[in-house]
Amino acid sequence: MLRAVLAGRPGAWAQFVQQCQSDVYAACCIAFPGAQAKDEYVAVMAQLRANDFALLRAFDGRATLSAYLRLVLRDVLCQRVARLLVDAPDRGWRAFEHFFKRDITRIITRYFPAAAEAGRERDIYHDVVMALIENGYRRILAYDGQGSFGGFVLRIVNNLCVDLLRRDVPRRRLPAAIQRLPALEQEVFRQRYWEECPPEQLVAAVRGQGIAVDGPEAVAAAEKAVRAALPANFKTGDDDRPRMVSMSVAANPADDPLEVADDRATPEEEATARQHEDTLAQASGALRAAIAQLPGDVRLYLQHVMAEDPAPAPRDIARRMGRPATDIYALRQQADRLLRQALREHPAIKSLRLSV
Amino acid sequence: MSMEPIIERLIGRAEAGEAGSLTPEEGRALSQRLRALVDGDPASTGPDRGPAEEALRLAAYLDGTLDAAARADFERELVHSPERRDELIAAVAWLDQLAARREAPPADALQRAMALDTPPPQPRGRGFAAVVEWLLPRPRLAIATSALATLAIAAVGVDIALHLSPLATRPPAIGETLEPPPIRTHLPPPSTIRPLPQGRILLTAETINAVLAYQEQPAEQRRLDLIGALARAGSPAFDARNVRVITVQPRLLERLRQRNERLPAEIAASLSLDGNLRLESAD
Repeated sequence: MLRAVLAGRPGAWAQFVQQCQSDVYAACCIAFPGAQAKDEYVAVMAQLRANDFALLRAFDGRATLSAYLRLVLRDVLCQRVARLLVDAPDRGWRAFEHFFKRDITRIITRYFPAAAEAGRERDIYHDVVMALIENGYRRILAYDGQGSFGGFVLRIVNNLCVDLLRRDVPRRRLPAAIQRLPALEQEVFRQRYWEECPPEQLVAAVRGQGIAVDGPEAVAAAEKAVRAALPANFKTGDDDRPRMVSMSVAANPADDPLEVADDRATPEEEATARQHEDTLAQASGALRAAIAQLPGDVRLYLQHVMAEDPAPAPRDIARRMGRPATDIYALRQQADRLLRQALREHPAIKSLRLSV
Repeated sequence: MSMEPIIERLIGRAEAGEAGSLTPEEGRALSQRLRALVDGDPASTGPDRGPAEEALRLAAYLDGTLDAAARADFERELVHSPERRDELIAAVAWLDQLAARREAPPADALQRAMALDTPPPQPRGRGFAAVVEWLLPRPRLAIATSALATLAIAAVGVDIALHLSPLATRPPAIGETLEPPPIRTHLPPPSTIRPLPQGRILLTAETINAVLAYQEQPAEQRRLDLIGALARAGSPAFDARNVRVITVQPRLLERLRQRNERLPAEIAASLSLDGNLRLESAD
């Protein structure tokens, strides 16, 4: 049928329109609320014919035509929403929110999984939307045609969520002795003490933060400088920031005006928490090394598992990986086996005597 | 503490917050930590292949019809790019949404869509009558339109000739020696012209001058001159009405002004939705 359409055979276009009418119209209804969908439907059909059927001509049979067409429709509608935002901002924004609401909500739940239970989900959604609207949609309109518009929007929403997360959990401050050192030494400190990066991965980790490094020797020297600057037996957490402490005063001040409840942790609790943190830090380092060794498809499976909270069901992961669900169970078993094997042999885990 | 809840959470066998002895809060904190671990250091998102090719790759991946090598390539890209994974998840959500909502368009919209195929009337194929009609004198308006079209074609021809001979576009300055133009025996065959990569523009003298002139005074005419110069140097077509302002990468501008280091052979231009045409070095 597609060949007939491209060759301009009589009746082929009508047949094509009949065939994909519900897909195209449903897509327009998802993107554009209300009566607008009808006009958009005709406009999208015209766009499929544009430039001598350029979008349809690109189809080479690698995938099914319906899957290809549906994904192309998404892109075409994204572009139309973006254009509308420039030409008629009010209508454009309604369409934008209608189109991206699900994606925005999904990304928010990834960064703030507890927000739904605490009833904060709507507040965070509101914050993200306000940031998208502010200054005449400045963030959205910065799209310059590189990559897909949909991908660009997801990137903005991710960045906004990270900003909100940082606002909720203020960034840790470097110890004063480290603040006086150059950028390389500061990054080495962050990677070693905050991110628990193993020494063999330090160069890559520092480079990953956009800091130019001449080689492992430079990083080793920086690490030495960091150790020299820190007090002996320094541990993460020694640089604790001031804490908010609730002051529960007796109901009747006359009873005991100066008695303030001390809700700080007891020394035993602090020691347990510190031990727990240490264990997790060492386990993180071991896991990082183990994950880096996993085959690509197994690692991708883990990434899909961690992409949402709670983790998506195996059938959803199967859909995202274009494989039957049985393959996903096999990947899970493989991940289980490889991780346990790698961790069992890892010196940090051995020294911690953690059961694997 | 045992590694058990961590592994269970990692491989997707535990529900959030219910991993072993962990409280929901601890479970979530653990998830955040593990997510950072499995994501690793994100790399770049890979080349932009254009919407049709991207849709085709994605559709083939989700259909499971990619060959093993192409699948491995695609998955490698996904592993190193959280953005690509996000796009994949959004695409799957879109496909599911679409599959759940089958809706036929109203009859009039369907008719309009089908009518898009109505071809314009063509003299050929209508037999003798068409030939006779073509030979018969036309109305005056049509003749006037034809004359205007002919004049326009001639004007474009003259314009092209002027551009092919740069010396003819400006008078020689006082004191400048006018050398005879090189004799152009023939134009190079099309196959010898190297196509520029998508979005790349040759940094010609005309482009440099137009950029500097616009930077000096960003007036309307200079803006149009610069857009014209870019188009002649291989830029994709930008509708001048959509270009609100032209910004030049500071480093590129400095190189153009100082001329104390080698200039890039090509530059890249990208137009944002809010009308900012950004020029940068394509080095």
